[in-house]
Amino acid sequence: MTKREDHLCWGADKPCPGFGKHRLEVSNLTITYGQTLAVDRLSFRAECGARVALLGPNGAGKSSLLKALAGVLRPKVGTVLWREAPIRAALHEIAYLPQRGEIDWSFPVTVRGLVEMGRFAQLGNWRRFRKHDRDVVARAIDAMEMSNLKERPIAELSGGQQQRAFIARALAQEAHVLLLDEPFAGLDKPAQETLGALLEQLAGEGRLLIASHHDLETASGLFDEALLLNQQVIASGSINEVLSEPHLTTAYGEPSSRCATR
Amino acid sequence: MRYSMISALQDCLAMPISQRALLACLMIGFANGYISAFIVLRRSALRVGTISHGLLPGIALAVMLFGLSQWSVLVGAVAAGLFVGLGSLLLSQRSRVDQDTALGILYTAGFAGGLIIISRLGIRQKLDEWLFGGLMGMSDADLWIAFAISTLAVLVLTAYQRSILLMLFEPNIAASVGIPVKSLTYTLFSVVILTLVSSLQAVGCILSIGLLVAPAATIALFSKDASKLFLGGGILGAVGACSGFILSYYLDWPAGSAIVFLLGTVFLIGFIVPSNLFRSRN
Repeated sequence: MTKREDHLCWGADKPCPGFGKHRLEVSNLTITYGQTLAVDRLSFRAECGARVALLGPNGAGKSSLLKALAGVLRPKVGTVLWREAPIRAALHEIAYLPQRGEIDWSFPVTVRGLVEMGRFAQLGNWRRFRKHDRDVVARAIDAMEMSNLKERPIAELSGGQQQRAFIARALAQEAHVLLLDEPFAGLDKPAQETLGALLEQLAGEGRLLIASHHDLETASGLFDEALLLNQQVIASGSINEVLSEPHLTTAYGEPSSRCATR
Repeated sequence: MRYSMISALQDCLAMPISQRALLACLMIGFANGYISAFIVLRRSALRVGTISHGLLPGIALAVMLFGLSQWSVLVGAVAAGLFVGLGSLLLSQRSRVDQDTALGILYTAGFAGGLIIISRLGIRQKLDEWLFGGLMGMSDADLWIAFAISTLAVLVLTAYQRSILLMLFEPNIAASVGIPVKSLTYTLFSVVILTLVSSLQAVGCILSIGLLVAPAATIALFSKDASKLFLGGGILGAVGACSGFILSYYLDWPAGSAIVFLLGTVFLIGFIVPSNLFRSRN
């Protein structure tokens, strides 16, 4: 399965020889809330450099899956391996971006303050914030084209800017894997396009992006691969394969009844 | 006889009893102000108010069981605070009980029980101190307790400030970078409870919530940077508590009330003035 080819992996100056791409491997993952089953014996794999969409109807377990991958939930059944080791050993390599609705936007913090929080994962509580850290923060803010907004409180940003500020936080964390919960939700068309281009660039640099996404119309333009789930995996692979009509019918029901579930 | 503020200050600083009170104000004010950042950012003012009222029945029970002493008061207050505070935290994480309702009933009932016990024990005079503070009655042991608790509180909040900020901002992101959100929350509430106990002597259990909220709330009116609320709140808390005490000396007001009233007034002024300035500019 592993292609023995060199690739320019994220964070490396030269190609990592012979090891194939860094891989996230989920097997038999089961997540429950009390008696309620959210994700049922789910297995899939993804490699860095890909943009993976998590698709499925409401309640399919997309957010739960992201939280489990991020280490927020600790499922009792199943394993998540990143680079062939348990993901909990490399939490600083994984950045989690919650849904915009879950964030307290009135919290008194500026864009720069938010992005600096990204360094906490590397520095812990006690290591000093040095010039290197300031440089990483500045580069992350630049990469998201937010230099002119860096002293602005997050409450005063537009939806697209808020999303970019959070991605800048993930970049400052030097995360290899970005887990995004509905990053495109609530953005207008130009903001969606800007964000789409940025995600493409981040993946091109060798990061693995996994994002839940509810809009099937736009999915194929924004992602390379997809995992279609409804508690269990319905399909996974390239985005166009996954978006085929039989798979969608399994996940969402007949086309005529679909509007309500999307 | 006119009595100037300066000579009041000189008198105040000359007397050992008020020197101790001032020292207590400095320590307790700073620690409370520092922690108020946590309370304000977490929006837990009401829950902490509940805990502070819950201290009274704990003290009453301990005094009834072990007799009246510094240590029985301390032990009773800590036990009651932990019981109410951590209990309510557990309740909110484990069940769907309407927390406001449950706490509203529990703490008033507990408070009433405490009042009954204290009135039966015939220590009404002490009751006043526990309710509204007795800065002039600080003993050496009280000062040491205040010092130990204040130091511990400021150390814990400083050492874990990054984790605390991230957790307050977004608990899920905090958990995703490996911060033990639950145990950190329990630790911080334990520190809050200890701080409440240490300020019991200064401002009493009814007013302590003011000292534990107003400083950082005032700083938050002016700062868009959450990390500044800690030190800013600490300084404002210390300055406010000391000035409130000197003011009370000068005007012959109850000290605890003067402190909390002063801090509340500063907050109100901060709330009103900038918005007026802003309006006039438009």
